Amino acid sequence: MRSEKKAQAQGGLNRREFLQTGAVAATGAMTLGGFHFSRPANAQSTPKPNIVIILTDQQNIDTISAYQKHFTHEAHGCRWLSTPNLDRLSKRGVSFLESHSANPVCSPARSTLFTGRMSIETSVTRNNVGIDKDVPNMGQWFEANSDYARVYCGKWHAGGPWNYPLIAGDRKIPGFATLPGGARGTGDIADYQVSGAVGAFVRNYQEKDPFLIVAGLMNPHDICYWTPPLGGKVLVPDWDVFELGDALPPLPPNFDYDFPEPRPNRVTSFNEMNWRNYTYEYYRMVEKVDADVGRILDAVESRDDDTLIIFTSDHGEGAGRHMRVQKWHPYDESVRVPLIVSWPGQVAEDVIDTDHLVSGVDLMSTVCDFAGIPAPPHARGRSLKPLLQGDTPESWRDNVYAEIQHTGRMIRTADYKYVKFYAFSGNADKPFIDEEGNAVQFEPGMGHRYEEHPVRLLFDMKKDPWETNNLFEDTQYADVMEAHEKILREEYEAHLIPGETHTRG
Amino acid sequence: MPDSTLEAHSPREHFSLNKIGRVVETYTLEAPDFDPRGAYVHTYDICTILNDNMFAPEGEITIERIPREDGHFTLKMLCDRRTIHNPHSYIVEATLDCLDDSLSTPVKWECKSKIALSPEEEPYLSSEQHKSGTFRDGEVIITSSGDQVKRTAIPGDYTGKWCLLDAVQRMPGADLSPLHFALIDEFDEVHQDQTLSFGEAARIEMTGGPRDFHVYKHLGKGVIPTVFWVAQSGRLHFLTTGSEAYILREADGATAEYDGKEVQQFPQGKRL
Repeated sequence: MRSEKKAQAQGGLNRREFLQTGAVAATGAMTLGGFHFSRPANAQSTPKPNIVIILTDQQNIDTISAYQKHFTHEAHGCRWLSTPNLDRLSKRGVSFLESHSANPVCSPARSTLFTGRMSIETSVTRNNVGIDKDVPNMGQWFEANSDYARVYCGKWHAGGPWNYPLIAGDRKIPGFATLPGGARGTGDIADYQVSGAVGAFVRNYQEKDPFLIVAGLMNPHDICYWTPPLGGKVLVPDWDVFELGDALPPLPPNFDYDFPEPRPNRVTSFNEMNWRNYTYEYYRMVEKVDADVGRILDAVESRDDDTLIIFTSDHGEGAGRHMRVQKWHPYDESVRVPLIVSWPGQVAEDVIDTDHLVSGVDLMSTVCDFAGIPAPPHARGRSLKPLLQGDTPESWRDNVYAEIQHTGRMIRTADYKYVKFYAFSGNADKPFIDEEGNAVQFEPGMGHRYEEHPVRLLFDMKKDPWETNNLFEDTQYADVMEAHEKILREEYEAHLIPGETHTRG
Repeated sequence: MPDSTLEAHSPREHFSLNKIGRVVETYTLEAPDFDPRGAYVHTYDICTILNDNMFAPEGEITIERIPREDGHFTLKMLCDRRTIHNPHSYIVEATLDCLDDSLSTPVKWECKSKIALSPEEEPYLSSEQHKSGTFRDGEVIITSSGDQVKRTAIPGDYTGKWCLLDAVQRMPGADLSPLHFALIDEFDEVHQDQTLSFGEAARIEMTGGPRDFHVYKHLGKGVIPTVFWVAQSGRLHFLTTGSEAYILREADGATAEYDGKEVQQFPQGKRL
């Protein structure tokens, strides 16, 4: 039944037809550095901007030093680091402060960024699996519908249990040529390769057709190896070994808290000095990757044609908030991510947008809009172009939806964040438990038939931005809970089309 | 350097060396006498280290120092770091004109980088670029391929990331007053507010007996705390910075021996 629903939703197209929507046959070609880019027959001749997407990994929303006016607590990251290049980019573009990952885990988030679909639709609800075979990625979509040259360099992690793509073979990203930057899984070694190679490509590109290039920077994700499950205390001292003193950031105000939560996952093996060293080094990693952003920015500025830059991150980092490290959870430190869009002369400059709710799935719709091509079918995002060009749309979304790994669901409205978890069956491919206790895959509109965790989360984000007071048991908020549950069921769960097949992993 | 009161410790007891404990314990190098102000050629293995088991070679860097008569010296640098698509590497070649001062301050430099199979091979997919740098009137001026010029003001002293590998070898141990400077990262980006200071004199148990080191610490914006281990000979033997380690493999024709067996217990799986 699922397969029939999916085929019906897609209008009965098979994958090949799906990717060639709007294209008749490829004619014309360009060879660049030995890689051959074909051009669809109906590619538009309207001048379009080059597109540079700079994607960091695990970067918090408050780790850009230009945002100090908006993040004013002494524990906010922007007060403890210096990011001159991201500040420069912010000044020449629009920053969205209510930007949310669509699933705050590496592979799921990346699958949503590069398809415009929710992770339950890309089949990537966990790490190390590849995008559903019937969901085109950005490279494939642009290949079928535009004349853009498409290049990927750096971390991908949406194709299986590997980070960096190869030039050819199983680990090449379909739809993109590969600049082989990056080696294993650390930004220390890889990020300079990526920023150097992308910078060079941007400087050297002289072809008539525009290019789309993605720089997948790894940092500040390196902090993962500083966490107890991985590097452990080997990398994080529990005393002030470097005599940093007051240079060590303080613990955040929501470090300790007392409310019920569906997925308690506090790190209790760190003492205060572990935490403060951890956060200090995390901010240094952000500064390192800022230099890499600068290299790419400089390259774009060396050109005399039009280039749109989009900077964002896949998810955030705990950094001691809610006594957490890494991501995997629905609190703002994990879900909220930086997003800056820049194209001087075409997009507003030096604007900090604090009003509009934005999602990772918006990336695909936005680049398609600027490239003058339609977004893929069932794209769940909205193009940010009207917001960027000062054309306030008649209506903008009043909520964003995110998935948390396999079975968590988040609805964020202007004032509240609502989170619930379905009970996880233990089977990643059939993660839900139905009324009969069977492990099942997600079925649209069937949420009422799945077992749920009894504890939910509800935060008043205006009064309690640090998420320290869970209101879900407060009867005064019963209507608020119900309203958000209704949004979840009617606006999202009724319509999402679950994927079926991982491509890899 | 020798201090008879120093107690010898296993490298695994030192925070900075514990991740390369196996390497250090088994390390030997019979190199010629060393003049840190003279000519030398050092090659360092670059490795990823994430816990006390993992050790994964990533590439190497060769630094050649050539003294001059005008109070300057030349540093030539070749860095070859693997990419995921072996045998393609990211290759950086640079020549720096440096002052013979406490920071080996570069006054001008040329750098070219590319993805290629070797330094002699053509760049892959338009990945080559050239950058040059100089310092004038309080500014570092970087000129990139296509004549783009970028200026960054530097209020005080400065040096280059790779120049420090030379400079630490001339530092006076406990007599060093902390140095404050800006850092030119990979020849083209500037991190302000750096400090390099003497950490300690340490005696480490190694093959063939305990060896003495001067340990220096480098902290600052854009830098994971970095620790330099300068041997009694004056040569920089080890450098650790977060998940990276640099190990002196070749020194003026001599080759070090150590247990550098690649251990790929690279953390994988869902917790990343």
